[in-house]
Amino acid sequence: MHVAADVSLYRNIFLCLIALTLATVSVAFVDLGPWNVLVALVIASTKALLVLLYFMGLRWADRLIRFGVVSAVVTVLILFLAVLNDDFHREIRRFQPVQEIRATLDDLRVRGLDGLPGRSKD
Amino acid sequence: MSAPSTPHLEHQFDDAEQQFGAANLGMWIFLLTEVMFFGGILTAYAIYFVTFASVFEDASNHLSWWLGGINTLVLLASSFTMARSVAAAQVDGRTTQVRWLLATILLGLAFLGVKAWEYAGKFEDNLVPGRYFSVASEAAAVEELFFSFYFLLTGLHAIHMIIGIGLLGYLAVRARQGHFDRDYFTPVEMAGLYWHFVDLVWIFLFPMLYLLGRH
Repeated sequence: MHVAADVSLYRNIFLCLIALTLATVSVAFVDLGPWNVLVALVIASTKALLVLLYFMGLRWADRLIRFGVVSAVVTVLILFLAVLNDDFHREIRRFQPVQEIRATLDDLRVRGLDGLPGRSKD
Repeated sequence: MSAPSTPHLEHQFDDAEQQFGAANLGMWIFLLTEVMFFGGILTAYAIYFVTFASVFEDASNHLSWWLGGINTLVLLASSFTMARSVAAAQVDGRTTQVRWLLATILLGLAFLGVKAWEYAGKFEDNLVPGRYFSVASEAAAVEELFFSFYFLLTGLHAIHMIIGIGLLGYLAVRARQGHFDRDYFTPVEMAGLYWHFVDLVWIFLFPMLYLLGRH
């Protein structure tokens, strides 16, 4: 009822995974600018797909299981892209240099809470 | 269903097929929650990476790419022996079953051994976040952040490996007692799914942690 055991298939998948590992290491030493990360992720996803389809037998699994896996991947992608998108479009600087934070704190110490931006002195 | 022909069938199931389907669905749903678990941490990691890309690349170069690479190959090999274990549970006798399971356990232990050696090196080089962390960099705090992620992600992964090795040890004992054959091998197949998932996590961790700054 499950993964039929044609064991030469497992060996071939294993060899593909080794080849892709060597590929990802070699390409990491070439400067592709921002593309390095993307290429690494594409190779990793390909390896993950091979493991899922053949070692985990997703290729022969019920449609319900396959549907579940696809929904999990889509959900993670939504999380990933939505959070990154939010991060890219923020105008505030989340990571203030330490000196600036220190200056603000000193300012507060001198002027009290009235020194806070947006607070009037009446 | 007469009891002798299906000794492993629990009374709440109609037949062996339904029993396997329930176990399989449960295991996959568990693994999908694991995807969410690691996905959340990797998203946090991605945010800091895009914010501090160059510092993360420098920090990543403190890791040994070849130790990470060797461990990747070891883990892939263990996935191969795991797949063979599941196949053996269906078609081979108990000696062969135990042999493939033990091979998987040994490869898992080899991975953890390399990992422990790497961790020891990080302690020696003061790369463990906290009181003694020190790198010669203006952005030491950000490099420390990278190492926090490194230990969080690889640590959680290693905990999964330790649990997996425990499961496989238990299965090897059961296989030796002749519990698995072509009619019943669900535990081996479920542990296999778990083991492959742990491999899958590492497939993403390796390039994201070890290979960031090599170019």
